[in-house]
Amino acid sequence: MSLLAKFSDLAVQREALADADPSKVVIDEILSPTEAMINGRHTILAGTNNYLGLTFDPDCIAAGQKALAQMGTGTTGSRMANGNYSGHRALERELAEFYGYPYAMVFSTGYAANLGVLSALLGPDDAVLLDADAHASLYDGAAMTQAGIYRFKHNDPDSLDKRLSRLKDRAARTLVVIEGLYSVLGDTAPMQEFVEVKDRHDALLMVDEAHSLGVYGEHGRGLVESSATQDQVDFVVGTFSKSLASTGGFCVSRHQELELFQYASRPYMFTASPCPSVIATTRAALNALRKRPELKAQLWRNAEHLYNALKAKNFRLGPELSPVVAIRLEDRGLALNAWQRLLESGVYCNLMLPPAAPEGGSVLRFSLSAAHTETQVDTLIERISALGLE
Amino acid sequence: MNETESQLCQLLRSALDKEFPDLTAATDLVDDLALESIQVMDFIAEVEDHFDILIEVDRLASIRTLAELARLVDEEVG
Repeated sequence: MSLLAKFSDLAVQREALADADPSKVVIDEILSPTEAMINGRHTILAGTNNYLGLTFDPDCIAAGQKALAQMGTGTTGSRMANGNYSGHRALERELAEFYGYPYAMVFSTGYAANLGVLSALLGPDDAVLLDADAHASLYDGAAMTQAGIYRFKHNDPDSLDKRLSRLKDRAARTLVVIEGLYSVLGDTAPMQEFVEVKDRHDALLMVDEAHSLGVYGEHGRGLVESSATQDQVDFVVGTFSKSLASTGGFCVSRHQELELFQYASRPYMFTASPCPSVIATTRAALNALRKRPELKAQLWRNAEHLYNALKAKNFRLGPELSPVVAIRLEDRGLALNAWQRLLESGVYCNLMLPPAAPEGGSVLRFSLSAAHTETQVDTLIERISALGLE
Repeated sequence: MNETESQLCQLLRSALDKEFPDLTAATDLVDDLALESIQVMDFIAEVEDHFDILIEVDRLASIRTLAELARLVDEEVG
């Protein structure tokens, strides 16, 4: 069997998807944070995780254009080899100040941030305990290390407690990894309970706030803020590609050792650093997140509008109200058909098939934005209801 | 079937709330039972709690049958 033979299964699977293949969607023209032209059709974007709707923000665009003109198009390499740009350092200072932590570290993507932090932290004698529903990047980061990798039941502090007990003395050399807001069903972690468990065993806790930055907490710092666990959580990681409408990732921590990760993190050392324009737009978006709380308020109004309307119509949704609204479907074929019909009706959402969705089911995921208008949310409700999936 | 394999069969039925009438030690969890990988992982969590053990995620990659899983459980139980 050749190296390439394994792709024959994928070819069969792709063939079976035919036109209902999300990877085939091409956005021909993007009209606004919530509208695009897809297949010649005016389409509402409800699957882009553009939570604060800042992708067309005039200040963000102007900051990016200015940096492009003044600093050039790229950094030509890594920060270790080709140098730090002042913007990299400035964004790190601003993130640290935003969280009230002593240090922040910027990565080229959110994926790289998770790989970079886990690979720097974990060595051969250590252990990592990941929530069962944690993002693939967290499992991939753990897999880069020689640490023992274990899994606990999703959002279950008791399951974590039992496993830390079984690790005995190794518990104090264990990193617990959870997410703030889980992106498939839109459920949140019971932060206080997890913090109590990890403290009892002297373990460390890392929280991925990719989907919760800018969404939770009075100042938009995420679940660590809304659950008042900022002083107990050890590492917060996140991405710039959702609420901050850019690309890149970060880690902030109350531990000074984070400053030394740059010498131990291969996904940080051996990849190109973010472009000046990307850093500039991220800084402008972070400023907007801090100065414009009305964006978060509007996002939540839109989330309540969609979630409550679909709940009233008896759709099977995720367990709690959040800007990620998930319709759960048992039947894979039904989910594929519904996703395709929605796209044909001018609604772009996300399709998640097993194993990406929990319990062997499928999910149609809608992510709200502060930029969605009330009329757009009404249109979403109307077109989703027309599917007859209740 | 040995004792561990029998316990795994019972756990499988209760964890997934299905009968699985033809389970044997050679039953392949994915191919024969048509379980999604995520369902297998959920089942493993129940196995860990039942036997009070921890199974490294890496070690599961080579496990296909109930007999192979039973051997791994016996190793961890010690």
